[in-house]
Amino acid sequence: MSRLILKRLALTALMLLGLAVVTFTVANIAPGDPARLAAGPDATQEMVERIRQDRGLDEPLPLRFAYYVADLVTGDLGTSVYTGRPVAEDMATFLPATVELVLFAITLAILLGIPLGVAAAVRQNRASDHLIRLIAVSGVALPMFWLGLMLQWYLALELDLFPLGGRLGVFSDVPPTVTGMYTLDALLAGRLDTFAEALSHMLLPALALSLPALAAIIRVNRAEMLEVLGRDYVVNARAQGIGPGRIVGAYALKNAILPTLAMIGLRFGWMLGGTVLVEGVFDFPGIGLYAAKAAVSSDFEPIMAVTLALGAAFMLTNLVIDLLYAALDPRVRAQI
Amino acid sequence: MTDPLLSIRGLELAFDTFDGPYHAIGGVDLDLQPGEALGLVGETGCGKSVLTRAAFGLLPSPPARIVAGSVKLGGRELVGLPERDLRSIRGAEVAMIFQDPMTYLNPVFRVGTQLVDAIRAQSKGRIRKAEAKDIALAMLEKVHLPNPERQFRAYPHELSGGMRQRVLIAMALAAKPRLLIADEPTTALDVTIQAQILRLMGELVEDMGLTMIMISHDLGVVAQVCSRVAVMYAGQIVEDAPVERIFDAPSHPYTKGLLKALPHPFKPVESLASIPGSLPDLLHPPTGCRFAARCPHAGPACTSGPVPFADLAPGHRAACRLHLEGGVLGGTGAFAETA
Amino acid sequence: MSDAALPAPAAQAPAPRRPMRFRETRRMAATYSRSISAMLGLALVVLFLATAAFGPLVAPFPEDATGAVNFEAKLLPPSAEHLFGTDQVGNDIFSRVLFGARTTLQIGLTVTGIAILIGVPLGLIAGMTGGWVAETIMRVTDIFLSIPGLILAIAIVGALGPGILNAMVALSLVWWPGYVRLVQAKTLSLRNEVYVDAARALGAGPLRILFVHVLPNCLSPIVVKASMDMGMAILGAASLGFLGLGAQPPFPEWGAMIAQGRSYLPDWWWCAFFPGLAIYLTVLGFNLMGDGLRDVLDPRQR
Repeated sequence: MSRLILKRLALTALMLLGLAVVTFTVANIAPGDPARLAAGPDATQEMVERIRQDRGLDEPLPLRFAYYVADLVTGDLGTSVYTGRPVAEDMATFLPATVELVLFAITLAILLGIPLGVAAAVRQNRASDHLIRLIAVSGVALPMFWLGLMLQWYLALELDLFPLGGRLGVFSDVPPTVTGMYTLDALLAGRLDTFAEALSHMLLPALALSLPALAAIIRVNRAEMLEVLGRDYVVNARAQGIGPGRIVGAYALKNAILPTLAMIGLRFGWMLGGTVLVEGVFDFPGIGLYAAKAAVSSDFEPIMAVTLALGAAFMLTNLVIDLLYAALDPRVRAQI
Repeated sequence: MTDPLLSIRGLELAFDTFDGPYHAIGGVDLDLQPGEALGLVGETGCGKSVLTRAAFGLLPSPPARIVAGSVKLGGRELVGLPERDLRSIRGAEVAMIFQDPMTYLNPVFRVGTQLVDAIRAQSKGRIRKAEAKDIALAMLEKVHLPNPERQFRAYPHELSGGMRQRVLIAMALAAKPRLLIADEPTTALDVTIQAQILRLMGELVEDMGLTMIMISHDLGVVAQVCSRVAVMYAGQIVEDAPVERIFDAPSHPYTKGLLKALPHPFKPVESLASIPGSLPDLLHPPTGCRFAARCPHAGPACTSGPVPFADLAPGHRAACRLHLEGGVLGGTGAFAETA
Repeated sequence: MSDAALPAPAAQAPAPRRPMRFRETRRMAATYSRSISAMLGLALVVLFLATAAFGPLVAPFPEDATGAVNFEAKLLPPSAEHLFGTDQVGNDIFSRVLFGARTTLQIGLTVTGIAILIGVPLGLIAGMTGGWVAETIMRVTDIFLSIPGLILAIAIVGALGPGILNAMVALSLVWWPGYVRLVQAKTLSLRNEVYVDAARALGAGPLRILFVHVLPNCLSPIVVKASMDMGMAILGAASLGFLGLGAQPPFPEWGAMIAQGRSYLPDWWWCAFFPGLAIYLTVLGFNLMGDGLRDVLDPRQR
């Protein structure tokens, strides 16, 4: 098992390098003079030339890539024209909020999605199955940002059940920073009221983020359960007299969960990208909102940094999923 | 004669398909005495697996549907029994082993876990895990698996085909069932392993006093292990006799055709004999004898209505009008033979 | 013994069989039409296509789609005259939604089309050849697939500048790797099929194997994926539009319209509501249709 982990870590490291190549390439396909772009719209010619020299923008491409990677490794992500601060600083400020939100959303999607998928498979073609499938099919088609707006409009504005946006109320105190995730920090500090408040602020954006993923998970899990329930070893289990609870919950589910895992991974990627949309709707100060604002003002460095961050996060997630796969399926373990 | 352990009367089963009901089983009567080893033979698609699975509720329903008939195990009617009752019978009183041990074992659970699950299920929860493990290990030894501890912890893909089949046998027999149904247990195995498994099965059947149904398309396999043979064609039983009589005195034209089609190991032939024609379309099953279209002796009486069994000898019956009316009814023989 | 040459036929005449021609196609059509959701999907897709084709001709206020202003009529609620209400410059939202369908269709078709044109050949090459060519293609594909699509699209648009064309380029670049992976996997598994070995034994060269055996069998997963992708591409385009990175105002792109309408919630909810509903129904249609196609073309594939 440890050989597998090492192999995958090495592969992930290579992929991260590849990610850097992609972001570097994208950064350099921008039409126009990169030095001028970096300098901003108000720079003088002198400043542009200075920047060109400083950044080594007249050097050959491979060398520039080497500088780029060196910068990344030392944590220099450039400066944001919009905020005026180093991007690395901005990222450190905004990243925990997004991590918190995304973790909450994916947990929701998994905790609801898998049981609902199993339930739908077991009750195939009955009323509950149709209802669950209806939710599942609709969920994938909903635009996250529109869903967010509708939730905000109805549940927050009309019914006043949830706050409109942000991470905490305007007058609330931020809990002492341990992880930067308000719910966790509040729990650690024993402040349950802050915990509840942070949670209620996260609920609507998390719902908007997770609904498409939830829907996809339900569909895949249901389909896989149906397929697995028709397999020979389930027939054998029934022939041995093993009860439906164990058959569905263990014998079938452990097999069905493997492709479901793959779908969870895929949808997690969409969720990461979706933060750009949903954080904007709810004014949630995470890296998604940061990237959205940067994109509109053609502020380059932040977009690249967020791309790197989300790409790396996604690669890490896929690594975890691959490892989970090996943990669950002994045949995968045998192949290494 | 004692009461039969298994008694099937007039069983009819259909699959509801896109094109209409497919009449897979067209009226089967069968009795199985305690201690008998019955071989159920027929070509692929004749309904032998379907028959045994249908009897114990193992076919997905829909699309399978028992249209008519009764199945009695030890006098107890199984048709119409709720799933919960059927489940308590399965494994505990009736055990099944299947054809492909690779697909019939769950690949993501250890062999031992699956054994323990089966044992506990069959005891209706009265046996605890530790005790079940002991029973499982004992069974693994009984089926002659070397190093039972190791096999217990292994995953199915780590075992060879023969070993997996032994595991399935162990699983089936752990609760000492009354009836064992073996559905082509050796078809997926090499010939040498086949011989071993058949020997093991013969041993266990005798040792445990089991009643057994062995399903196979291979007459040779059946000849080794069974005392009685029932031949099926297109969802019906056409002949039913003690094993020697099937080979020495086959009576139904289909059985005769089958035996003629077996190549002789030492006599080379120009071309292999085969039965002309093909299986009837069971979406629209023919009335009367389902073999009539391919039978060299068929006559108008054969297709006018259901064919009753003719008693040819004690324990030997054939569903053929040839033997009822005693005489050839018409048609030239592709199989030259004496009436 | 009489001399009948053939065995006696069955006494009962066989039931009339359906003619064999096109039986497979008809069976597929029948299976498809038995599914309510698949038919609903088809209906929605047809509605969408019809709107894209004829919408601009039917729109009651076509000038509103291209930037006419009419402050008299601003922010009117839905009514008989303005089915979806009007927005902050008095444009009829219904007309704008109708025009927007055409844009949406264009984007969806272009993105999916380019993705297929690039991705399928690359996937075939990667599957048929081996060695470092295939490895390189697959590694590059893997890297692209490891970056969440929307973010990559935003990065590309951020580099190229906002606009519909750049949005399409960005989305195409995000989508093609999916087809490479699908086709490569399918090709790889098909190569090992017995009938390919048989063809090779009969002397078929790699090109013939490719076009006669491999490609036709890849078609059904590609068709299913393309149908689902239309929906996802439309979502992607709308997302970019919402962020202000796609079509620029006053272009009637649905995503951009939602962004505009956002400021007018909750009192003038119709500005943001109806474009979103249009997106939802269109994507739903393609998803349902894709599901239906998959059930028909390859019931064992999930």
